[in-house]
Amino acid sequence: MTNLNSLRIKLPLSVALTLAAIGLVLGLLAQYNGLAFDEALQLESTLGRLATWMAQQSEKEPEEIRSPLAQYADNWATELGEQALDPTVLFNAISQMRSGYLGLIALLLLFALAAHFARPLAARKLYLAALLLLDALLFLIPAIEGSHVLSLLLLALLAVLAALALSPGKMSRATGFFLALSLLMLGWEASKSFADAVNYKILLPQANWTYQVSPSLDEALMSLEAGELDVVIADRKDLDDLMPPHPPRQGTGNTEHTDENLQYRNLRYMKTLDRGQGLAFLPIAPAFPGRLSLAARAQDAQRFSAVRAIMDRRIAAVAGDFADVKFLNLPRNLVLLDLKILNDLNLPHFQMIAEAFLQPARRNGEFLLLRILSDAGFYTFSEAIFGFLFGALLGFALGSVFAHSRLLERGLLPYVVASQTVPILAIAPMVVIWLGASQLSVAVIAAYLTFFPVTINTLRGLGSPAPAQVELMRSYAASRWTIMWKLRFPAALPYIFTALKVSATASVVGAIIGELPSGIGAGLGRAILDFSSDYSMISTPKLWASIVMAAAVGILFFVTVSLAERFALRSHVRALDLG
Amino acid sequence: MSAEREVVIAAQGIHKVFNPGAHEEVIALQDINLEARAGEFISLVGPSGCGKSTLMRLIGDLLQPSAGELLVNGKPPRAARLDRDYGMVFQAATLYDWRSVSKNVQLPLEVMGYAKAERQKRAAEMLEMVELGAFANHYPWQLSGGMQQRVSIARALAFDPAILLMDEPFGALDEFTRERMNLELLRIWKQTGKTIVFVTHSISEAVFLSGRIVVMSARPGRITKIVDNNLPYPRDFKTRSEPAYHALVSEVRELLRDAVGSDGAEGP
Repeated sequence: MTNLNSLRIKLPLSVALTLAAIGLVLGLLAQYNGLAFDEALQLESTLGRLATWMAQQSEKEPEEIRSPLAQYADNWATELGEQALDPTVLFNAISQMRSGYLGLIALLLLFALAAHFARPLAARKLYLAALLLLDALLFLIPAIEGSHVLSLLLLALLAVLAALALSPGKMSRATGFFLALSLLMLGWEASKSFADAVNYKILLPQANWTYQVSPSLDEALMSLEAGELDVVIADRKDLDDLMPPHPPRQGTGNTEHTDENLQYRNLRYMKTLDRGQGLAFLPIAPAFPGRLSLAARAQDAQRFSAVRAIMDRRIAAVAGDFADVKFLNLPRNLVLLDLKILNDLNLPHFQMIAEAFLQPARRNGEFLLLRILSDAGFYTFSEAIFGFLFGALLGFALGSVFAHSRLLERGLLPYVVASQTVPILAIAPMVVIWLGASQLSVAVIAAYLTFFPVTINTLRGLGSPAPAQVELMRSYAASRWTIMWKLRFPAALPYIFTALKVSATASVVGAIIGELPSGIGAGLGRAILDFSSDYSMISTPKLWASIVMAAAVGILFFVTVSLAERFALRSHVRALDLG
Repeated sequence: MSAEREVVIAAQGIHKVFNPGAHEEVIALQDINLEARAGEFISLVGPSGCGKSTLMRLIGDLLQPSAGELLVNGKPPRAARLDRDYGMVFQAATLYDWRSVSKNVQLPLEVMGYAKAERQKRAAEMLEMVELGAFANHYPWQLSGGMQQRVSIARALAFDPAILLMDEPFGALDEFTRERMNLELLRIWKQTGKTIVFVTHSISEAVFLSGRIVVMSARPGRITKIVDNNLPYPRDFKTRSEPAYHALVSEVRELLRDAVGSDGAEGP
């Protein structure tokens, strides 16, 4: 196959793919044409949900607002002369941004098409820009049943990916990286679409819940107190703020609020609730989400200890609330057969993860999860840095001592190796017992993972110079110290940095693990533990978000060390290329 | 003509035994007697395993003799090493990868505590001498093998040692480069007037370069004969086609053949 032949096929193919991509992007734009703001496609998109939250936050008194985004919304409302920001203002802005965004992508693709004939080498950059813009949309556009928007987006992505791969010129490292990343994301979303096609379910429809909605939780609970209702279904954390649990709290350890000053002293919420709704062993969908709980009058509490017990009772929920929209609202089905692979629980859409970032961790919470996780990530990062520095210094000291003393190396190295065969999860509680539950313990635990590779590579690196190089130094009558600093240490640097890069990521892992037995609540370890405590559709995207944040912290650390390496080894160019 | 010059290296009855007492005991050198005078160019030739490198390392105090007396500039080799009397060049250039060419040449000066300005001045001079002045800021891996070896020679001469010990310095180079390097070395030797002990397994190289050729035999390593080479300096590429040169090469080859034995299995 000659270049000429492949060129003859490549160009028409590229042109066809680009035209198809432009058509798909315009099709995407058309899907939104005249779409009302309360359509799921708008409301459930990442930005749509953010807009809803911002509008809600702007209703608060100005001095109560603490999040910068909410502040922004409030300022906007003030500018418009309103008390609170109307969501439609935000949705209008989103709509305009979307049109501009999609128009920009179409324009880039058009330029890429033209570039094929004018400046072929520029085509690749234009495709890459369009690809990145399309990738970003995967984080914004929700998967809605019956909507073609996501499918159109995936097809457009595929067309641009293919055009990028076919475009002339050499593939740069960054282009290759984003090409592979986009392919991965496309594969992820496409496999979900594929799974949707093969998912198989046999259902036996059951009667719907009969329930009434109240405009606010307070009104619902007042009706409950008055005996007009039997049960209120609401967010467990909200109920916990308002009433004592059933069964009552053990001991007096909880000083946060005493039961006496609670608002609804005659009501109880179910602290331990039997959530099994099964008939024999068949589950009923939707399952009662872990976040929701039941509120009942104190004298009835005994009777409502299981979800099953509320069938045919007078139930209420708050209108528009999660319990109303996502649980009670849905038809109840007895699941006879469920062949669901790659469902939204085990593999959520990218949009759901992005949305989790841009939503408060708690309903109506005042900070977005992004802010909370960023704070947690920074906290964990600071612990990891201390652990890393401590471990790296210890590792370097041990490696240097071992390199100069055969006896110590023979005697102590086995223990260094053995230390790494003990699981960190077993060591971590011991460190907390010795040093107390503090950030120091976490740093020590991170250092425990960090020092080992540095020790081994320092030892190896200091021993790496060829005998002739050492003899050369001896012929200059150089002292041991001079040989160390002029020869052994510079020769060991590439080895040490290789270890430091391993250690950088390991120290983040160590810090996260160390936070668990230390009971430190401000870091990522706690967040991961929190969001994995109930495996529901509410927590799982947040768990993914925490994982993304943990990975980001690790990557940030790795990149920092890599940059330091690049600076320190700028003369060791050959060694760098080998590594 | 060299008889009036002072004796720089004096070896008397040198023995070197590796792993004495163990069953893998090796007698590397036996009864070595050798004298080198200031400004002399001496080559050690012999089959592999004849101990020529060992002898050079004994002189340079990288090894210590098992018996015999060795004096360098009238001192034991250790004292000479501590006085920085040796410049060494090995078969591999052993340049430090992370140092530029100039910094490599400055290395011994740094170790010996020369001032920065002095270091830079000397390095520039030395690189000029080996005709690599334009490569001062290059890194070793950017140079060819022959250039690297020239840097290595510049480094060995940078601190002006009395004696240059060279252990098969051109052994890894191709024939063409090696012959050019031989000419270079003669030029540098003439310019600096150093005493050079040169280990090689190439007969033609030894004959071309040196004033005296120490022919050694293996197992145990001993000196077969010390051949005086009276080919006049300066020598150039024409020297290699002179009958006297060929006669000397033949003589050394005969000596080596006798040394190895009739089977010639370990000929050079």
